[in-house]
Amino acid sequence: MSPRVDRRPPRGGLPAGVALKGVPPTSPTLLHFSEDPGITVFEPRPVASNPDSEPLVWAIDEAHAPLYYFPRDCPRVCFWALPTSTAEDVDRYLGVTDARIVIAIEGAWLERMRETTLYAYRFDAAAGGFVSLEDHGAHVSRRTVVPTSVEPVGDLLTRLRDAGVEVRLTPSLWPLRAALLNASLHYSMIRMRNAAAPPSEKDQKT
Amino acid sequence: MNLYHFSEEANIGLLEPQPPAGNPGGEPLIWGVAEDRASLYWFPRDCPRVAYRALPTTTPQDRALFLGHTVAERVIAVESAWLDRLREARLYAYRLSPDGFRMVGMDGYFVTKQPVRPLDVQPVGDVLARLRDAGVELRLTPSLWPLHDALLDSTLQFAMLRMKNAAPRREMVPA
Repeated sequence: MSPRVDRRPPRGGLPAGVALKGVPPTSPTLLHFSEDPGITVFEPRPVASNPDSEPLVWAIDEAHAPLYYFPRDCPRVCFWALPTSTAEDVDRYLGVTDARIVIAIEGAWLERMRETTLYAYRFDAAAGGFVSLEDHGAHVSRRTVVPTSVEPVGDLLTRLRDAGVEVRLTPSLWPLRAALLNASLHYSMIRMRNAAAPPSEKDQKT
Repeated sequence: MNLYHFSEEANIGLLEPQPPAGNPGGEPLIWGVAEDRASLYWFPRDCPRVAYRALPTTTPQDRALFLGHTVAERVIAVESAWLDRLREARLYAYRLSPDGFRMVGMDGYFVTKQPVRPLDVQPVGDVLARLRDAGVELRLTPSLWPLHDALLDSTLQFAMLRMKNAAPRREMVPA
């Protein structure tokens, strides 16, 4: 597996005209999560945060799907060990848990976690023309893709539990984020622009 | 200072001393906790859980390791297998006068041998929301044992409750 930072797609999707390496998908079916139950066709389009990015259909493999068992806009910090992680970091961050993935969200999102109905769209990876980005389950296609099925994800906390994820409901994500930036673990920090402002003093607590 | 007694029963007019759970021959007592420990009891009675926070005597290293990644002053971990029971829990907080209680052991725990008439009773309400509102970091995790073991060697103040109900340790798999 590659070093942690280098292969991550740049923030805001992939650059227009990006050359894809054609790496085969990591699983025969791929998933796309949405709060919209009525999508019949996925058209390639830039990511919401960057209109100049390459138009693509994005999907995730099964193993990484729990990162998306959240309301779309929910800020979250996810981490797990890589083969390249140092023993010290694995002990420090994951020594207190049996979970393979830890995901922290703000306690303020508790009600939205319970109330959001999320849908899992399934794609046939080969028929959809998906390629792997070799980036923790992320896949893209330049084609218009018709999903093979759609089903409700169900209760999000239950799905996360069943996936063996440790979920942390915590007042602020910023201290964890700051610590992980200097760690050798994999981390995904999603929708942080929606996170509550960092506490002014207490986030310096060590 | 008031004390609190938590129960899944809604209508206790008079609290009667009970033998300790797991020791029917033990001395019948009523337990009360100080308000700042109350969040440890916003759980179904039998729910295994591990809670910790820093003490003035906690080393900077332990503070950094266990609390450096959170602004919460208290962390409570529960088995995610208890999620449904946490959501369905109906708990009641009985507020008690401290008269007649004596402090035992760790700060915040009190007992009396006499029956106690509660001052009042309030539903705890939604457990997850109460913990959030109290600024607790709640961890829903597959197993409590790794955290349990780590805390035993630490300088933090910790509480490990109802661990006899915890799922067994994951077997060590040779690498």
